[in-house]
Amino acid sequence: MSIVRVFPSVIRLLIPALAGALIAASARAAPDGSMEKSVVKITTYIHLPDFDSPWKKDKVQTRHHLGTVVDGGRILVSAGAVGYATLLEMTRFGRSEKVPLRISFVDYAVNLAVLVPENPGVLKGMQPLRPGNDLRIGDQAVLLMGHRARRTVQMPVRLREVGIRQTSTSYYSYTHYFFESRQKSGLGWSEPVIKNGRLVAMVSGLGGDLVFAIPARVIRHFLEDLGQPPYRGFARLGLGFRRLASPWVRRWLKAEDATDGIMVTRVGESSPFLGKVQKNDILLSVDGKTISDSGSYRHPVWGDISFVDLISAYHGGDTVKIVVLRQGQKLTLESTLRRYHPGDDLVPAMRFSPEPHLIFGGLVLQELNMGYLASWGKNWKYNAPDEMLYLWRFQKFPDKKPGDRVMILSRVLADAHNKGYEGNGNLIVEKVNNHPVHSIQDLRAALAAGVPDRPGLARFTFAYGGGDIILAYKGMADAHQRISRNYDIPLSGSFYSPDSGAAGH
Amino acid sequence: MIRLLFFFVLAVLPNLHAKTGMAIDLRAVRGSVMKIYVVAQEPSFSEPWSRGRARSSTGSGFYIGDNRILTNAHVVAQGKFITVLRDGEDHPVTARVLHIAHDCDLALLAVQDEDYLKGAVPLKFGGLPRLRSPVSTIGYPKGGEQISVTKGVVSRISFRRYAHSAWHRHLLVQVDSAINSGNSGGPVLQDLRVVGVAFQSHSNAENTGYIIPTAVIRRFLIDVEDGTYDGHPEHGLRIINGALENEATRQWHGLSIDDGGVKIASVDPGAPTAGHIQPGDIILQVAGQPVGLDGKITFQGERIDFRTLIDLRQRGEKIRFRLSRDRQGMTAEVPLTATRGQVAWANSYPEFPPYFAFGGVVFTPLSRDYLKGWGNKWYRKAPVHLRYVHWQKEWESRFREARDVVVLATRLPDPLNAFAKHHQERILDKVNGVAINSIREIPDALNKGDPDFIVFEFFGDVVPLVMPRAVALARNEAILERYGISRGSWFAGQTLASGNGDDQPADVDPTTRPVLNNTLAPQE
Repeated sequence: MSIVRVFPSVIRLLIPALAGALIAASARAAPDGSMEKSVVKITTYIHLPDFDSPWKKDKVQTRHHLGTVVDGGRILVSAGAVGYATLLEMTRFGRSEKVPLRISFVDYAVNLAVLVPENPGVLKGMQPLRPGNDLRIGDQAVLLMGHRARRTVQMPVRLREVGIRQTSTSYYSYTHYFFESRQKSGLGWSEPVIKNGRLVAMVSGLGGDLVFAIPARVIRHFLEDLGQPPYRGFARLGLGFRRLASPWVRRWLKAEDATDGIMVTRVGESSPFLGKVQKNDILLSVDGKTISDSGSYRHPVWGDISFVDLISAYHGGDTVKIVVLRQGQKLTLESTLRRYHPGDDLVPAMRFSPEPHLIFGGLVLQELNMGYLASWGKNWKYNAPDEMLYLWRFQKFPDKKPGDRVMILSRVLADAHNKGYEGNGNLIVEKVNNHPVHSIQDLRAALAAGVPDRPGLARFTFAYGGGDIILAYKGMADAHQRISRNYDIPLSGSFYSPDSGAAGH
Repeated sequence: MIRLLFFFVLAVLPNLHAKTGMAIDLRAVRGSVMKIYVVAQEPSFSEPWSRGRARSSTGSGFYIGDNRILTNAHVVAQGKFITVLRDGEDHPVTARVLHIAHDCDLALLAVQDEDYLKGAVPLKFGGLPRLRSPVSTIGYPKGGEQISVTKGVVSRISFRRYAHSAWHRHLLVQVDSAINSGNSGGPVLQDLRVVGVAFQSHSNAENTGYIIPTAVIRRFLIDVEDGTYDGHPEHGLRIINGALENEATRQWHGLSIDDGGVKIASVDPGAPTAGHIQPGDIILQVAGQPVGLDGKITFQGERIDFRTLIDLRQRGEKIRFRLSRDRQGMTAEVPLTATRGQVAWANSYPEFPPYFAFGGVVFTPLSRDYLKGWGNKWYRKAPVHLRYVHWQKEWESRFREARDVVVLATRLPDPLNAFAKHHQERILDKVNGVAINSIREIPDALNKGDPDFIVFEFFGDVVPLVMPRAVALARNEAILERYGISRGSWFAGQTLASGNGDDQPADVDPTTRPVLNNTLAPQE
C-alpha cells in the first residue's frame, strides 16, 4: 500500500484555519487596554514529526496564540499550542520585546499547559486572571482575540449549550462550552473568554458556527492541582456505557423497579473498577448523584447534562463510590481512581515528542498512534489499513500494561541486506525473536536477545497471518551505513545498534 | 453488475491471416456462435427479501456439442429469462442454465428446442496459445447487430483474479488488441480451434483483454460431468513474496539458492491444505514440479504461480507437496476436499441472500455482497468493524470457527423493535445466550433461554436487544405482512417458518457444501 504523506490532519484539528477578518462588525477594541494587562501574545515554533518517515521532521512552522496570565507569574495556553514546540516566545501587547518561555507543566488529557517566562520580570504590572464561576446557558461573555494583532479585540459571545467533547490531544472527554459568535474563523488559539473580570473559559476549537471552549471549572481543577503537588490531574472510570432506553432490557436485567441508570457495556482492562463492575450492570449513581436513563444528572447551573461531567471533577487518587444494580440487587462499589495519562493508551492520540522508531536492516519499526494513521491524509479514517483503524477505534485504551503499544513495520527501506522483503509495510509486529513486543524498548531487548537455535539471525513475526521476516545481524552495520547514505537518515538515533543491549550473536 | 469489467470484442477484418498465412473460413464456425439475451434481476442485499430492478443485457456464446452452449457466468448470472440467437437465424429461442460457475466465470446453457441447433458444428478446443501468436475473437459487440470478428495477439499468460467473483484467481491469457465495448462469452480462436473465452478487460489499461484459457474450461467441463458443479479447489495459501531471495532467510531454513521454494505466511483454517501445510513451511515442489524463489513453476513453457497447479485440479483429487519444515524435508499428500464455509470474500450471485427476519429485525451474513451496499468503494466506506471482521475473521477469536458472521442488516420499524435503532450494522453475538456461528442457528436459539424474553446480544460495546417473547411471537407475522415480506427467512433455497429449527435440506451436508451463499452453484 502506498503511503500518502500529508500533513497530519490531527494536527490540523488543533489549529483551526486562519481566515477571515480579525475584526468582526460587532467586535470592539478594549477602550482602556485593561484586558491587555491580562493576556500576552505567544509565538510557537512547531517541528512536527513526519509520521511516515519518523527520522524526519516537517518544516518548522510558526504559530501564534494568546496566553492568559494567571497567578504565580504563569501563562495559561492550550496543550495543543506547545506540542512539538522547539521554541516558545511571548510578547506583551504594545511592546516589541520577545521573551523566551519555558513549559512549566502540560496535561494533554485536558489540553491545558502553563508556561513561565525565562525573565519573570516581563510580567511586571500585569493583572492575572482568576477562573470564574460556571456560566449559565444564554449568558453573554467577552472573547478576547488578537493573537496576531497589535491590539486585543473584544468579541461578545453567548453560551448556547454545554456538552461533552473529546479533547484534540487525548481521548479524554469532558464538558465544554459551546459559544455562539459572529466571528466564524480565525479563532481557536487559546483565546480567553472573560466575564466580570474573571476567566470563564479558554477557546480550544471551532466547529460549524460554534466556538468550543474549556470551562473555568476544568481550568481551576488543573491550576489548583498544580498548586498542591504532586499533580493528581484527571481520572477515568474506564467503563463503557450505553443509554438504557428499552423497558424490556430493564426487565430482563431485573431492574424494572429502577427507572434510572445506564448500562455498563464494557469494563476496560485498565479500569479501576475491573473485577468489581460487570458488563450489564446498571450504573445508578456516582457519589450520590443519580444518573438518569439517558445518562444525565442534574447539574445545579446547567440542568440535565451528561454524567460524564461528574468524572472530570475527580483527581487521580480520589475514591469514588458508585451504586450499580445487578440482577435486582443494589451494590455499592468503591474504587480509587488513577490519573489518566494519555501516554498510557495503547494507540495514543498524540505523543508530542519525537516519534519513537527503530530501523533494523532497513525495516522501519515504529509504534501505532493516531498521528501515523493520519498520515493517510484527509480521509485517513477510511483509507488507513482496516485492522489499524479497528485498533484505534475499539482498542485504543491500555490492554494489559499501561504504556504498551502496538508495534508496526511501517515500511522497508530497500537494501541488499533485506533483499526480497522490499515490498512489505503496514504490518503489525506480533513478536521479535519469538518475544512479544509492545514498545521500542521491548524491540531492542528482543533484538539483543536473539534466537537461541538460530544464532546471528533475527526474526520478526507479524499479526493477521502476515508471516515473518528473517534478517541477519551480520553485515547490518554496513547496511545501516548504506541506508543512512541512500535515504538521508542520520546514523545516530534511528538505527538499531548491538551496543544498545547485549549482543545477539 | 460487474463494474470492473468491460465486455469486449476485437473488431477486425473478417479475412484473417493466421500464422499459417491461411485465411480463416468463418463459415465453418459462424453457425456455432450465438448471441445471448438475458433479463436478470439482482436481489437487494440490504433488504434481502426484495429483488432489485430487472435489467436486460446481451452476451455471446458458442456451441460445444450435446445441446450445450458455453458462455460466461456473468452473462447469465441471476438470469430470469434467457434466449439465444444463432448466427444466421432469424429468431432466438429460449435457453436455460445447465451449470454456472461463478468462481471461473463460465456457464453452460441448453436451448429448449434442440432442433434449433441442428447443423451447428461443435467447436473444438485447442491448447494454451503461445505468446505473440494471433487469435481471433468472435462475438456480438455493441454498436451493431451483426457478428464481429477481431484479431489480437497473445501478450501474457498469468494467474490472476477473475473480476466476476472478484476473489478467485485462475490462469488467464491476456491479449493485446483494440477493445470495443461489446460482449463476453464469445470464442477466441486460433486455427479454428477454441483457445479461450473472451471475458474481461482491464479498466485502467488500453489494449488489454483477457480470455479464459482451455485449461480452465476443460476443468469446468470435467467438473460438471457428474451433474453438479463443485468448483475449483481452494488452496488457502498465503505466501511471503520474495522471502527466500533473502540469504539470511535461506540460512534460517537451511536452504541454498538452488533449492528454490516459496515460504508460507498463513494457511486458511478452512482450506484443504490446513493441517497439511503450516505457516513457515517452504514449498519446494508441487505435483513433482519444482517451485522457484519467485513462487512460480514452469507451466507449458511459461513461468506461472505454483497455485495454478492446485487450482486446475478437481475437488477430491490429491496433490503432493514437497516441503521443508524446520529444516527437515517432508512430503504432504493433500486431498483437495471442499472447504468449510468461510466468510464470503467473493461475489456470490444468489437468487436471494440468506436472511432471517424476526420481530422486525432482519439478519444476514456478512459478505462482500452485503458490504457492496456501501458502494463502489465499500472497502473504504463500509463501517470499520464490519470491514475488519470481514477480512480478519479468522484472526478474531470469536469468529474464527464461525461459519457466518451475522449482521443486523435492517429494521422494519415497529413498537416491538423501537429500541433497535442503534443495532443496525452490528454483529450478532448471542441469541438467548446461545453463541451464533451461522445464520441457520438463529431459529433454534430463539426457542431457548428466558421464557419471558428473547435476547439478542451483539459483538462489542452494545446494549442487548430484548423483546418480550409473547409479544414478539404474536406480532412477528403481522410485521412481515405490513412490510410485504412473504418469507420470514431464506437459507439458500429453503424457506422456513419462524421458530422451526429444522432448516437443513436432508441431502446437504453443511460441513462440505456452503450452500448458504449460492443457490445455483456452491463455490469456495
